[in-house]
Amino acid sequence: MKRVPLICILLLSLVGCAATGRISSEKGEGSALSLLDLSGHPANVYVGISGPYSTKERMVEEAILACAKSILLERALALESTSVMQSSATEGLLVFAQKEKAYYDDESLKEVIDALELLSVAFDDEAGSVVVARYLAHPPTRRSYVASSGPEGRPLWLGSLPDADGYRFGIGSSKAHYFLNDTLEASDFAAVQNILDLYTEHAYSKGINTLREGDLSSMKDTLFQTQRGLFRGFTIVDRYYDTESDTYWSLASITE
Amino acid sequence: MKKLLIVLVALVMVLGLTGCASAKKDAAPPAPAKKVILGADGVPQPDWVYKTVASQDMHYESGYGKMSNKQISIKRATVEAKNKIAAWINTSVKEVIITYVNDAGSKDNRQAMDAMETISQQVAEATLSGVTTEEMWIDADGGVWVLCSIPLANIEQSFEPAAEAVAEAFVESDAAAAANAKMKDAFANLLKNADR
Repeated sequence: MKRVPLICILLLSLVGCAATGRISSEKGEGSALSLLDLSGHPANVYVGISGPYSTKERMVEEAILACAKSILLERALALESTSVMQSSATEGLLVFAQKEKAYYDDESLKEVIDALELLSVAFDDEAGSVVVARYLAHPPTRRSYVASSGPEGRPLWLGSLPDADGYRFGIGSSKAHYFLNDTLEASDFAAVQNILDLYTEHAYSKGINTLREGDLSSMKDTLFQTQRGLFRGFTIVDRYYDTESDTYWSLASITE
Repeated sequence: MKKLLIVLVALVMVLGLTGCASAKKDAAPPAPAKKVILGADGVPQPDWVYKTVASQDMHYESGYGKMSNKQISIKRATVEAKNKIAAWINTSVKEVIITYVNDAGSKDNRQAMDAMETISQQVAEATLSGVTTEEMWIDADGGVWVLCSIPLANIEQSFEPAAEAVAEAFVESDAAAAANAKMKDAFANLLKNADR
């Protein structure tokens, strides 16, 4: 297999395939999407989804690749985020722009795929193929957190972040895209960027406050901030689909 | 018998006075109850939203954001808190005075108008490491408040390369090493005192 570059840039895209959680929604229950729920499995079991393709063979291939990718993301994930903000005393917030990137190492993708033992393969109109596989190179350990729901069926983590020793959590969401796998990617990416916002390893911040005093007095604030982090143990712990707002939510965790 | 009667009367009077005093105390108006502001999901507003949090080994700053959704609000709030931390670590102020001359009119009707403007810029710039969001509170309008912390040790570390460079610039001697150590101590004390 041709060796892929050491670091592959994932611009604004992670993997819905990193899903090791469950979909809690009216839509998901009883369908192939419910296979995303891995809460009953040990932490060395992963799931990958392909999205729709023209043939079943291609879908299964893509789902296996997605499954392997989620293992690599768990191994090490480098993140970068830049924000630019500008506000004026008279007009309030003028600009709030952000650029977010993620990088992972896919050099050992082949070795990871070789160490996968397929547990199940299913098909769904939205998800394409859903592959659940055990990664034989990892011992079967407990998951970081098992989600529970409140009285209205909404997961408790939507209200406040879980607290578990040795782990950090973040929440992300995305409106439904055309393909389910794209939606889950966006939601997962937002969740891991949320962790970077909450726990910043390195940041550079430069704020400029300009005060102009004269005939036309004005005050303007310009802020530039960039931050980066290297996360280990990235996993999507749980998912939730809010039918009312057509929004998908992801709860991500990393090891401290 | 007479003596006993006097003692009893005195005792009754003392008890009576004490009772009055107690009654007066009870009748004092109660202290006004502290107004509790409830946020989303009925969570009361924490003190750190309006009070400075201080500790000897950490520096804390709060930030606020209200944007189109919760995630972006959290981002804006944390960006603001980190900017405050940067401002606390390093701020420089630059002032420029500009004079404008506006020469208007023609022939004998020329008017010269002078105007002066002052532009002052305050730049807060710093490299931060190990900033953690300790607390988060969402107000009733959906605005997000965060309390971020940075260990003082991390700030000291970021100044260390500069301190080493200063020391290396001098001829290697015990005096340079001692001066370098003193500078580090002074900086550590400055950070401690600044937070009080």
